[in-house]
Amino acid sequence: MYDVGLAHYLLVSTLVFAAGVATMTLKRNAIGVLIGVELVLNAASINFVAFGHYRAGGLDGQIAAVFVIVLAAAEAAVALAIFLNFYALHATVDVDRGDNLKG
Amino acid sequence: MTPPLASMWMPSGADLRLALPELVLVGALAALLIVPLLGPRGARSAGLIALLGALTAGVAALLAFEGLPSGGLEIFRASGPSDPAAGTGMLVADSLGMFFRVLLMFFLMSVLIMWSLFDAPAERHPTEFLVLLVASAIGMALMTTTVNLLLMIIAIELASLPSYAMSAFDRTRRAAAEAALKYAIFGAATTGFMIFGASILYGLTGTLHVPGIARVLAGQASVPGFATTLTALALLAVFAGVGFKISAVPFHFWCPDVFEGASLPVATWLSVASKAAGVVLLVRLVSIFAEPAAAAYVAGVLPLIKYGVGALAILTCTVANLAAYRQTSVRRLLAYSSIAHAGYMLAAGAIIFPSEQPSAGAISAIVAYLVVYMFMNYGAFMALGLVAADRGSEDLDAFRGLGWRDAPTAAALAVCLVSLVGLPPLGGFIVKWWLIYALGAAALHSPFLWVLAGAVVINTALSLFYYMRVVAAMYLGAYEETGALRAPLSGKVALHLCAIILLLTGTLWIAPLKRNADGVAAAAYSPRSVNAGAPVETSISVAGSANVR
Repeated sequence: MYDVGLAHYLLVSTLVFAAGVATMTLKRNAIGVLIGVELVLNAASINFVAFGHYRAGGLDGQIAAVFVIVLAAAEAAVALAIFLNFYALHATVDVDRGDNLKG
Repeated sequence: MTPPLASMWMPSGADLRLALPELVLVGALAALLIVPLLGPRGARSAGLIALLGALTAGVAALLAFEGLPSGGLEIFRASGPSDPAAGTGMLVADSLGMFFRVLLMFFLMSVLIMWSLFDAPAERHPTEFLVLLVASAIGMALMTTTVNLLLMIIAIELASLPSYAMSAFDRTRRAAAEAALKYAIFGAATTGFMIFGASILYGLTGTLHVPGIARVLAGQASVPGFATTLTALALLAVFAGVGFKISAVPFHFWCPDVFEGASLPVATWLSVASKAAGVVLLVRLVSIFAEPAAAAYVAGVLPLIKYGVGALAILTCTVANLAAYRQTSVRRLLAYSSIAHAGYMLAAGAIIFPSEQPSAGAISAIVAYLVVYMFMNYGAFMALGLVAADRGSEDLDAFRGLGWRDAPTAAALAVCLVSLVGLPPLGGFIVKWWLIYALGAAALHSPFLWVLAGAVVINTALSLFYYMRVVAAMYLGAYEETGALRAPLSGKVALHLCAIILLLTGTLWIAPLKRNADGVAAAAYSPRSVNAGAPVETSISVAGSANVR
């Protein structure tokens, strides 16, 4: 039997973060990019809870994780509404198709 | 030592009084949602509620100035494991934060007036729009007063999420939908990195309290290695989140598109309020990281912040000024101009380091810059709205012959544009001169800053040409029809007021502007004076509460 320690949690969060960044950069679909962002936020939540338990003590880390979850939900709500509107006008949610405005 | 649970989260009356501006805005938000249910609907009543809320919040912030101790104080203290005796604050109440709230509320009222002129008559959902606007104002007010990483993240999100929605508010415009898509995706990605960086910083230092983080980092900064690299990356991620709000150059791609896609009041709001909040937050972060043990940070990661911010400033103003050349839409030209101005303000962020120069000089320059920038940008956007209302176009061609058709409007716009360049005798020149002076004074200790000061001067010369394209179009273009612009009179009055204020700040009001900016900067928050010890805290907060009343 292994003891689960900080390193294990950090390994998981690093993997989730890497998956999130890969999704964010490789996906051309707006919803796919959003999923990548959610993965990165969840990796941050794992970090907060793990560091809070093993390093800092107190409840700061756990509280931070709860807030991050709420923020992710709020962000998803606003972003999905915007994607839906974009889809209604452009019939696609491909981020590369939004090229009428030149950045 | 475990404090009783109740003391860990109950705010005191004094704390609540110092947070009154935000509380008033939350009240206005609730009123905006409830009043339409009771009867009066429509843009007029909703606009009135928002205006009243902004006015009350501004007055509350102005009144709170009196009782603030020099150096500020931390409010909403909670005892955490990192500092069980004194507790660490969530917000700071200081002169810089209060000054920004006054400025923000004044600007919110100005934007509400602009909205009632251009957008409100045809707006089908006025209440919803104003709720978003006021919510983002609360987020920006919180951004400038937070000293807690978690609260900083929440404040940035509270400012950003309504901004995404506001830029997509006109659901029938393809440009608005596209701009909002880019804004939301780019913003979400930056926020993701920022929150992940914050979680790493929390792990490395064991606290979310920013001065606490700075103290721990100053202690361990001299050891190069994996931890230092990780710290630098985490700090970079956090600063990227702030840079996104300022639209500093690697994070600026959303800015011109959003300004073009969104409605005019939204673009005006984002061009000043969002950037100003980001700049003040950056100043606050840098000044906190510069504070503890001035000798200790020299060897470690913290100089990275100084050179990083400086390099970002050079990059931001140069790229923006070069990109502004090929714009034919005046709206996009103003968008790049606002990015360039964010770059100038960032430059002052690079000299907030006490070992070289008292940071008060830099903060004072930024404070004065923000005041003048607000008027000149508002004036330019208002003129753009007036021309667009008459001609139905925002291209450079729409401005042709304006100097002969409507001389007063054209003259006021010319004043705003010349002030944006930074030429005397206007306010824009004075504040840019103070900025360059502060850079030069700090450059005596660090040669890198000569490059920075030089970049600001060269960019000022660069920017002359594209602003003058608009002025040239107004006065040199072929003149077709006669008669003044068919546009709302109150809009013209607001534009002329901006021009008059710019003339005054460049001449008669130089001394008061300087005096007030210095006063704000001298009393700004500094963790050294606040975290001196627990007994001092109580006496300060008692004195503060007595004076605020």
